[in-house]
Amino acid sequence: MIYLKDLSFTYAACDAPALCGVDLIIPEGCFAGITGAVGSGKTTLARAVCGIIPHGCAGTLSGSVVVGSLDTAKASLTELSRLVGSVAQDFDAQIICPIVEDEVRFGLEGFGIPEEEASRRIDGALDALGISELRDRSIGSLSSGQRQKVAVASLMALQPPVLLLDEPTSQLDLASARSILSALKQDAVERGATVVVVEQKVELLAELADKLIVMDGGRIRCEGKPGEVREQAGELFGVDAPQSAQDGT
Amino acid sequence: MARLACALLILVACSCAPGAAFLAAVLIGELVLAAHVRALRLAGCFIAVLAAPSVVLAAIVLIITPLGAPLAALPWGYIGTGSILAALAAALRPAACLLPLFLSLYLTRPDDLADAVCKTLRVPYRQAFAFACAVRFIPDLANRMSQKLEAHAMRGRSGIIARAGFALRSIPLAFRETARTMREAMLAAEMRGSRLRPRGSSPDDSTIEPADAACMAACALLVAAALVLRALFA
Repeated sequence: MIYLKDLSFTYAACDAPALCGVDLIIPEGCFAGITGAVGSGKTTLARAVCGIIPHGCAGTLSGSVVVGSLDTAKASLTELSRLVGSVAQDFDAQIICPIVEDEVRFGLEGFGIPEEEASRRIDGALDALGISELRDRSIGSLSSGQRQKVAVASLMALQPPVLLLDEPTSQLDLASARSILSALKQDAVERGATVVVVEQKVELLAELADKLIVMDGGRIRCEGKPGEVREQAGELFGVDAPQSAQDGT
Repeated sequence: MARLACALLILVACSCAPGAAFLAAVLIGELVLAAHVRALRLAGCFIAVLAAPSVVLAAIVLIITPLGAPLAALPWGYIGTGSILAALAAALRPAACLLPLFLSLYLTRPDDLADAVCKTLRVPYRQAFAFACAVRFIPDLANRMSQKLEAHAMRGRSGIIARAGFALRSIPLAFRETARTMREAMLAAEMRGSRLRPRGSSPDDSTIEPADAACMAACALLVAAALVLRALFA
């Protein structure tokens, strides 16, 4: 389970807080989608869940984030890495190996996964995302969409209890985006993993997510099942919100 | 480490080599090997980065090295046929010397490179991994600079002096951006268990393989050939 209690965070170089008093529970095995306008705090929330905040981001943090049994502020990134796997918004920054298969294998070696099991996971992850033919390709020769799929494959091969992806389909067409999110959903259902996806393709997210969270100005504007969120924040889906929602009643 | 040893031997050979013909032959061989490992595009990008400084170096050598039959008189000497060959060698030398080292550092997995640096130089693993990541992001820095200059040119600023001034002003920003990207890469690597990686389990941790020994012997012969040619033709 992921539990955020009164979480606030202000980046070191900023005056305005990026997150204000966020309270959120994401149950185990849930496929949760986080969406919202630009600058609403989605990526900051994702970073807080995976532990990049506070370990890798300077700023002022208050409140707490507990993932499983670990408080992200107290546990090290290495401890958190056993629990949370993530793909950042800037996926190119996290690709460090020159060949696709090496990149997907990198994390598996880090966690000491035996070779036979590692090969099986690599095959599975590449197949699930439809990029098996890229296995021996140089990362530099891939398109941005292909590199993004490689980053997602690296995460899926790790099979962590919590998968966190920040805009994992930003470089992909709608069909590819749907196939990736469906693959993540299936993986989550099979393993009982918790998946948190930050995504702008709201309609697509609503098809697959168990829970939608809408961020606005560093706060959670509304959360719940996709149908409920559509009632309250219809403009995200391209429909006018009901008058009662606009009035805040 | 065998790969790096070969790259360093080639660097020594090309540093000692007297003539453009030797350097051109070695460079062609390096490009053929780069094509064999599907890194020709990467090699081309690296050579492109070195092109401007190589041309500047060649121009300097051309005007300060009076050799061979005179072709053009200069107040302090002349430009001769030998000057042109010397300038050509000066243009080829940086790429011939550095390309194998760059490719071996870039194509070696960062964790293997970090392990090797950790073992041989006794550097803490975190710093060794940072070094490995830094090598990986050199092309990223070059790419950022190139994109900034291209954007600058598209705004109508295409004069050499304007571009040079803009390039100088952009270097600190490009460095900061690349450093930020590198830092994110290290965080992401830690999130994928880089610090948990069992030491000594790298495939490159093995003793020297026969193929590696043969490559190192060939590179040593290259150094010997360069020294002999230098003695004969210098």
